[in-house]
Amino acid sequence: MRGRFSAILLGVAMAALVFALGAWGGSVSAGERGGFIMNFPATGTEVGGPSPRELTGRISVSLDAMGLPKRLIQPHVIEVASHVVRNVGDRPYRIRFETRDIDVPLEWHSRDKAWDPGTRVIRRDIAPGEAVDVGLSLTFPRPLPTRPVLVDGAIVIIDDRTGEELSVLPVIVAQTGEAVAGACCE
Amino acid sequence: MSSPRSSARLTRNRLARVGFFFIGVVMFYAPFALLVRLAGWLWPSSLAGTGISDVHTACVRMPLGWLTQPWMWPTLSDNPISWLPIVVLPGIALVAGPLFCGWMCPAGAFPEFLGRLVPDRFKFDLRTSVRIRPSRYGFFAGFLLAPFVSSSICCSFCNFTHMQNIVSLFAGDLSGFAFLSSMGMLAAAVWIVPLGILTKGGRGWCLTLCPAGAAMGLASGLGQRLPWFARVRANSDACTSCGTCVRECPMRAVEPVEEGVVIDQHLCTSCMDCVAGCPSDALRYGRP
Repeated sequence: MRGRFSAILLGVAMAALVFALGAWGGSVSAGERGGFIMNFPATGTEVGGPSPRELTGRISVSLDAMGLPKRLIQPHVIEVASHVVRNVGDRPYRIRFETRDIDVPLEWHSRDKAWDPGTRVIRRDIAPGEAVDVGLSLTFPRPLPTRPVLVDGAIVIIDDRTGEELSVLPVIVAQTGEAVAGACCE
Repeated sequence: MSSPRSSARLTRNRLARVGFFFIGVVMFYAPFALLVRLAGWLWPSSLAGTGISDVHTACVRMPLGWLTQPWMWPTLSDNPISWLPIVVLPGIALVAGPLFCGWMCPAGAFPEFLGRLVPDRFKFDLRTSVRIRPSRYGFFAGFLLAPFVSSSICCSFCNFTHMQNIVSLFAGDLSGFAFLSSMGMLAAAVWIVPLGILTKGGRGWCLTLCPAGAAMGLASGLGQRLPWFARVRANSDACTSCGTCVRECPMRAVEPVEEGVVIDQHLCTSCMDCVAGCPSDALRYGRP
């Protein structure tokens, strides 16, 4: 009986460990990686945000949340990435990715087989409702610049056939959460 | 004590396992990923058809996590390869033991074989340090439930990603190391060091933190009750209590008891190291 109780207790402790790890991972991730979803064609808050349940119309990374391992080993590279860049329109699109006002060295990547890294085009039609993935790594100079907002730009999705701008998702990388919100350091 | 015959048999078994782990690399990991390519050819509109062929497309962790997330069920149904860790691998584990873990999972094998370079006196034994089964299934339960409180660790705390990065590194592709996250670094450190090379058997991650291993262990544990399914079995009449199987088991699944040994089928991966290494042929793999 006592053995069974301690086994249950250990099991609950391990489950709690997962929650704790997840909570820690989530909090430090806000300073290391801007995970997002993005819709196209879309405007306003429908453009995207950190998750499907949090369509804020922008993505932000505040470096003060960065975890200690990252701070020690690789503080100058952050990633902005999405598994869900979804066609919410009613016809297929062939899309191209661009950035606007992001003036640090960056590298695009996608897991889609039709991804052309040279032109940043997904060279196939993305059907209505279908999602693709994309990400970009931003490399800041070392040591990090001291200005409060390091990046205030956007990811832009363009119809590769017509050149039409389908969706613009603002990206903010700042030193602190307050700077992301525009509430300090002006 | 092991005999020259059983030692040679154990070495042959380990070499065979190394060979199968390379097959695992070729089947699941980029730049090869033959299984993923086959799935992409069979189902071209699925993720395996449109996405890059690497271990993430045939992930054995994510679909398990999706089971408890109704909003991910459409993704499960759209991607037949997602059924691999939900139906195929546990099905094999039910019938024949978790052969994938013992013979085909490079992410499990890598720290196991790397750990053989470290003398045993520097290692701790998980079997005597902690109750493995509750730890393993508790972690698995947390893994399944965490998405409900927005704290999923499925992708951030993953050893398969690191294994893919290592395989890619040997193929000359360094991109996996371009961005490092705190959780990713923590996972890599835990996988390789305390639960890898510093754990007897080198399979500490598999034993406690691998959701796929837990799912297959559960299936294997259920299957042991059914008489027609194959498992590693001990014959206490022939056992001389030499301790070779206890020592050689990477999963710490063999426990010494008064009348020989018992095998915990929730932990055993049917790797056969114990069967091969037993000098008195007291262990065998088969039906009861």
